[in-house]
Amino acid sequence: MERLFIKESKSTPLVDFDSDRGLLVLKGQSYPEDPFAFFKPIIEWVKEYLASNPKTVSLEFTLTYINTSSSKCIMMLLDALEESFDNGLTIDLRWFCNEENEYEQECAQEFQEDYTFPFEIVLV
Amino acid sequence: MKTSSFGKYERIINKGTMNVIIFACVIIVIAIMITGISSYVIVKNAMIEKLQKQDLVYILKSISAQIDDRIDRAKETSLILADNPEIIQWFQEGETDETFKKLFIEQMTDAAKTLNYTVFFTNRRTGHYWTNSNLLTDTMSKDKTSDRWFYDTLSSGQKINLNIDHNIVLNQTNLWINTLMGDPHDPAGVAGVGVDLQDISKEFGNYKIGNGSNLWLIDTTGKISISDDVEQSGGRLSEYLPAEIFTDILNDASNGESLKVVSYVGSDGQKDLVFQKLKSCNWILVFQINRSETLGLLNSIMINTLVSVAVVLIFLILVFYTVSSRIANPYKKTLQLNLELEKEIEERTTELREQNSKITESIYYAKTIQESILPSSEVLQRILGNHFVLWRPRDIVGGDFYWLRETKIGWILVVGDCTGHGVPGALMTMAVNSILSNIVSKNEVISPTDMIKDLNHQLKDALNKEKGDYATDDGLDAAIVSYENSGRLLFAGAKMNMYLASSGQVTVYEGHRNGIGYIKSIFNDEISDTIVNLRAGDRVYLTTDGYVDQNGGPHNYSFSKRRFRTNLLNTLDLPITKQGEWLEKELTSYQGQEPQRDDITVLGIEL
Repeated sequence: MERLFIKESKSTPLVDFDSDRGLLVLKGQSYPEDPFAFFKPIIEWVKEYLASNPKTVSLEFTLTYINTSSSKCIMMLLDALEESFDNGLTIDLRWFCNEENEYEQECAQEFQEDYTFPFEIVLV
Repeated sequence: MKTSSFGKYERIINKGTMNVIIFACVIIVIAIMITGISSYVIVKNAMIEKLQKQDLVYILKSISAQIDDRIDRAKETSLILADNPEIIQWFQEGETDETFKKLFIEQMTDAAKTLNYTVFFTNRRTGHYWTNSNLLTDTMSKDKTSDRWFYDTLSSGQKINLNIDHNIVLNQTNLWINTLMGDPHDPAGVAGVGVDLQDISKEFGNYKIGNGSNLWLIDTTGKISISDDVEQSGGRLSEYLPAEIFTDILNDASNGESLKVVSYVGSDGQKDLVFQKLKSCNWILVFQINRSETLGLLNSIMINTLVSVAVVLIFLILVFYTVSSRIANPYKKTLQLNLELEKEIEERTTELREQNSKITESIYYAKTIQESILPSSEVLQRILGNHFVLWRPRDIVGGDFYWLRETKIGWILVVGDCTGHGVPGALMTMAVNSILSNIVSKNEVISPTDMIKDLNHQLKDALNKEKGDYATDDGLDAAIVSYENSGRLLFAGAKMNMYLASSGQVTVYEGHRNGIGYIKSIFNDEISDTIVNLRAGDRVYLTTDGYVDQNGGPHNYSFSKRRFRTNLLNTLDLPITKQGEWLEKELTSYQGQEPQRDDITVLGIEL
């Protein structure tokens, strides 16, 4: 599969999904006017990737701010991963948070509560 | 702004291009002036050359040829007449033969008539002077001064003598060819013809060019024999010419017959003079002309040249100016292009500004509508008692709202945050608002959990039509509080918490993790009302995520829930309205210069 790479912008995060290495990276802030339009191709890419039966998938998220709609989209993305995890896929997510930024940690914690696959909050 | 930027370019154009244009125009002017002047000088020199080498020479040669011709013919005639042996014999016999006398008179008058000459014979022996007009006119006497020419001629020993006779009264000039009859050393008398030179004098007039020219025939002493001006005849040429020129003429003419051209500056300008000794006699023909007269044509040439130079100049400068300023000047073209683009941008900006202002106006109007569905502060005060509201949409209108309804036993308060902000968010709030009114009017006493379930169901039905398409997956986060006048409070939240301040503590009651109205939002039995029995003075706070999400501070982090909770805790001593103001101030100072991220709503109630 072709690597998905989207450059970071003021309101959208860097997206670097590398199917060869099985590593999906999201880094930055996310509050675009229309988050669904931004995340739709990303979620589709992930679904297609998961359909190709990868052995392991690692995720590295560093999201300093995500607005409500964006978090909804990220939830969709993680829902798809959760489903594959339930079907036996090995997944680990490392969510990097600034140790001084409580908001980031709160945000990560809220996500963490919702999923059963390995979800590690890494304070940096 | 527009005019000043236009003027700026104008100045640049003027400064840059005008220098080039002026420089080029000066060069063109100089070049054309040089061309004009040089062609004028060339033409002038050519004309002078032609005048001196051709025109003057031609005039002089033709006049002298004419005079020579006449004199030669007159000389021939004179010789024939003077050497007639019969007449010589008749003269020597003392004019005794009366028969021959008749024949002689006949011959004399015939010759005169044919040749248009005055014919005369003078007998040395008798002194008789015969002419064709009066026949025997006079008898010569040595004592008479007027007859001296006769005796001078006889003793000269020269076969032919020329003599000019002016008669000023009659305005006549006659050339007399005095020829010795027979042997010049022993002549029988003097015969000859008189040629009226009046017509030559007239001829002279024909050759004159303007008033500045003179034609003279002078003898070897410089005496004027013939002039086109009769008054000058008999005078001296030295009166009309500078002395050195006069001397030159006499010297040169005595040395040969060749034609000479001389130029000199007279009292009234440059003059050209040409002279030649006649072939038929020693007389000299002199033709003098003012240069200005001959070059009169030059004036018209000069005017023509000036006019054409001016026309060519104007034309060239116009062409050059047009070419340089419009077509070939990329600098100016760029500036013009820039101006055009700027103008276009200006127009578009104006258009956009107008459109933007229309849209903004329309949104402001939408704001009044949105505000009208929000309960007024009077209503809030009446139903809730002491409270504060911080409602700050990110863009004029927004997706945040609060909703209040009085029930039989108390009131129900909803704080919601619909997906999106701005106009899309506001549209959502309208839909949610009407659904909420619908839910509560049907059944006034309803638990917050049931409201969430009902709202979820109706909203999904209304918005998403179970399509399963992400692009239209809209919904809201909400906190619903139902208060009963007995002091019992029921809370249920969908991704939104309730903060309760009681006995100096702030407790967070978390809402359900699902939002309302989304495709995947399902509320089953796991959601239930949180029931709290309140005491007087307890405070309830509901907030959308806008407040805690707002970035700012020294590291530009989001505000965070913990900081919000701590702030609430630290300001519990303040009256509730003051606490609201304090929270707002705190937010503003934390936000600093950062733009607002999301719609913000915070509601606090003291019970």
